[in-house]
Amino acid sequence: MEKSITKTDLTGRFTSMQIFRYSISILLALFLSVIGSILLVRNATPLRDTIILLVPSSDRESLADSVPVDRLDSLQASLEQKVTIVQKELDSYIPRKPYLIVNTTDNTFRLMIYDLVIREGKCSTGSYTILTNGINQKWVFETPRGMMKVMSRQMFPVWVKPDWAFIEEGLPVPSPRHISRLEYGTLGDYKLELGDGYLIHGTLYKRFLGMAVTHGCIRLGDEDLKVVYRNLRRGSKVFIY
Amino acid sequence: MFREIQSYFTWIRHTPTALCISLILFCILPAYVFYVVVILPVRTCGCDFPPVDSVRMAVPASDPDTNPDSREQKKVIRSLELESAYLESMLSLSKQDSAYLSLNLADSLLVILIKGVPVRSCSLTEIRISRQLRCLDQAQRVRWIAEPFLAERELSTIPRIRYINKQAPKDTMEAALQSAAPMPPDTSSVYYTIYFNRYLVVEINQSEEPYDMKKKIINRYRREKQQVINRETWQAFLHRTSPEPRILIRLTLSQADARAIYRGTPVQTGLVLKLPSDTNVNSCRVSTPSGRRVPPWL
Repeated sequence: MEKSITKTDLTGRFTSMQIFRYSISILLALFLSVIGSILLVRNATPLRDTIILLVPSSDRESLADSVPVDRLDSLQASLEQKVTIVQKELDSYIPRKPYLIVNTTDNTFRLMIYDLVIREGKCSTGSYTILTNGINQKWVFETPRGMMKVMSRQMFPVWVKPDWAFIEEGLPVPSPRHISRLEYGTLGDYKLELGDGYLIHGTLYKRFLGMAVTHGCIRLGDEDLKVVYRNLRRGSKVFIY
Repeated sequence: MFREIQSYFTWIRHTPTALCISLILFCILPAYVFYVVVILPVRTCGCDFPPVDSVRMAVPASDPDTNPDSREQKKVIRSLELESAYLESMLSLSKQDSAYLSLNLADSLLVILIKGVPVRSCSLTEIRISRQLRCLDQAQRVRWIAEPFLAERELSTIPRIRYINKQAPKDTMEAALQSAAPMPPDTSSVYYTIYFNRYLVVEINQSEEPYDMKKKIINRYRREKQQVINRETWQAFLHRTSPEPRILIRLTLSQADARAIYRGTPVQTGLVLKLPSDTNVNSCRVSTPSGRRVPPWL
């Protein structure tokens, strides 16, 4: 009887419990396979890194491998010459005269000549404050990054206060030539202009050296400023990062 | 309930048909996923990298080399090829105005440069290079590093810049009430990943242990990183292509250096890479002596 059962009679052979169990098995298998696939995707990178160890490393194809042994010397010589030429060209980028490097993250500076440090110390750079006055006026107090050059130098400078200096203190903004715009002694004994209104100057607030407190200028202590002023000339490079 | 589950497992153990069907269904999808996301990328590893230019001299290949002197000389030539590619790449970035990075894996240095002038040189305490590099032959490696890499996107636990918004006071009394205290120094943990073009990923981690309170930010950063990998892998799987063969370089350096590098470079920074001549080293722990003087051309 059992041997003569055809396929069409198959469903008759299974009880509802068996059909239920088969369905559960299939669903469970599918569910676990999806979970397994997700885990594989999440861990694909470390698995690839492990399996790559089984792959033999690539043949080290190089110019050297396609050149007869008797021509290796000339190949080496030509490569060495090329490396020397490029190294010399890169070396020419480093200034031979004193230059300044300013770090706006740590608020430190280094006065350099070629690759030697003449002086290093703390400074103050931009505070990254955005001052907003109504809807039309906005100032961002940050020190610009990149390479700048000293445009001019001055001893015993006078600070000509810009508009934001009055707005920040809640004072009315005077006319451009008003005497209240002039402040003596605020910038210290020396000033080096970098262009676009940015300066390297001294400070009355020595306790803030090493912190980001300025309106974009670079402030140095008195002794540091003296050394920097004496070493940097017009056209000297200042690297800010 | 427990008895029913037990009877189910007893039934399935004694029903080979159901067991086979379940096993097949359980294995088929993961096997396919495994092939697409693991095996296929390993098989095609190296194929996506730029083809080598025909720079070889038109001479027949030399016989298998048994001379130790010429083997040594070939090693020197290989390292010169890498050096030359690195310097050419450095020269091209020296002409631009913005800051860029030089990653010298041979000397374990990460340097910020502006116009060819190194402004900060950071020693790397640990370097780990992805094993994917094994798939590239020497010529492909030289070609790969011959041009600078450009950053495309990044993930980080710290902001690039911390801006403070300040409303202008109406009068001097209001100005006096506004706080003039400077922002305290940033001590947050520094972990970031920069995705460059041409399949390079550089991950930078601080060497110091993170504070407990900051671990939430770090965990979020790690989750976002994993999401990037998952998204790429899923997209590759759905399109039935191989995921991009990213070469990951994981660096560890001090927190101060890591922060300075992240904040000292622009968003789409350039990077020049110098590979060590023996790149079978897949991971290495490096410690460098202090007070190292950096040669001008690095």
